[in-house]
Amino acid sequence: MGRTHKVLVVEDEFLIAMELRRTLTEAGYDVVGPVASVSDALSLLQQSHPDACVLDVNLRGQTACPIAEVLRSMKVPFVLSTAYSQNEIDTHAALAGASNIGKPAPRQDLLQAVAELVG
Amino acid sequence: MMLEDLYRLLRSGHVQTQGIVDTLREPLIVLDQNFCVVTANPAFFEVFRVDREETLGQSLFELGSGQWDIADLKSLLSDVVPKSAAIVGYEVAHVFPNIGERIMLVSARRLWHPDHSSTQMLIVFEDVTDRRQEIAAKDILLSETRHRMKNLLAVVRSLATQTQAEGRTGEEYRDAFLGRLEAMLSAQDMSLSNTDETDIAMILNNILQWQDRDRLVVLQGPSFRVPMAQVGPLSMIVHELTTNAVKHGALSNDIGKVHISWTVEPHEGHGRLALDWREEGGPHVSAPSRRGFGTDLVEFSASSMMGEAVLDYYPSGLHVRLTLPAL
Repeated sequence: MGRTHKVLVVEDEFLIAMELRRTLTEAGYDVVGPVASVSDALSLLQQSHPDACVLDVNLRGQTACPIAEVLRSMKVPFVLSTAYSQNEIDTHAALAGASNIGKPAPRQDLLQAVAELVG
Repeated sequence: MMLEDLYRLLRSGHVQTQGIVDTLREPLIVLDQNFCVVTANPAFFEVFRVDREETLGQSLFELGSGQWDIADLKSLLSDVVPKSAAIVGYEVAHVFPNIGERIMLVSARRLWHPDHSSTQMLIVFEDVTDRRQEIAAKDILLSETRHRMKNLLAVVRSLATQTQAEGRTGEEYRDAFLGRLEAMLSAQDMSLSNTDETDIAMILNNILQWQDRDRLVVLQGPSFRVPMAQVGPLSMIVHELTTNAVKHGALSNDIGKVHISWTVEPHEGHGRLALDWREEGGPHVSAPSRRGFGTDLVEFSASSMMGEAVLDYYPSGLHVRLTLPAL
């Protein structure tokens, strides 16, 4: 049996974060976080090297760009979960090209996207 | 027609035309075939804050230290207009020395004089900067509204998905889900007020307003400011504890009571809220055999605020100690 993959969840809406954690935990992932702010995510990434990340774009009024930049530098694949349109996402260089499972994200889309990231 | 009548006719026409030109709110200029300013209306001098004497007779592209030496405009006037009778609404964005960055719609018409071969050019400028900014602001607002609406739907879906359905009737599931939804919406209403923070007492009063306050006793504590971002998690904690007390705890019989009190204690150089929820007089209590969503919600909500919720199931009643750092 392979090792359990660590998935960082960055989401500032606590009820959605709870659901993400629950869905991923039930699917056998080791959830890191959830964290709700850019600063908390960056602190956590100094201590932990997740295998993948589910990233909200708007975190209490701040964009998740600094997190995306660090994730890219650490070669941690990530998927966005945001209600923003692709055009709006693509205006941020750090987020451009990242796939977005949307919000609300269907459970199957979330699990499939994370499986592809760690696969 | 007598010469005098013709003169009157021409003078009347001139006065009318001058009146129209002077009344126009949009800047207007007439250029000769060398792009020198033949005339300009008052709006032109007012909008671009230029002097009449320094303007008339000068080349448009040399006016005001070359502020009109704009590549797009030059190309429009020298290449496009001569080949077509008129250009309407050509957009030019430029930083003007006296008025800053503006977006202008330029409309130009070639005036051909039948008596001689010279041509003049009539140019009208429409400043659409404010209109464009309003449209951009509206687009941002629409985008933000759409984002918030989808976020809210995602929250509703989270509640629906995580509210336990197993072992419950449809009515029980509906009541549990709607109870949480109403608590969340009530917290949302508080969050939308035009302040950055509120007080712990206001959050408690908001969620507990329909409860029997003889049995759910709130002992007023010191003021503790709560950021609006924490109103949701705190409200859900209070809602979950209240619902549990009504269904299984001190408020499930006729004599039990819940006491809520809080203090602000020093913690790492700042204040920390320490809130106590104490139930007594209810049925004998034992720890639940398995964790439910309610317990998860209380603990997760507290940790999402960098705080902690400790639940102790004493036989005499549930005690909860909630600590939250001041932000």
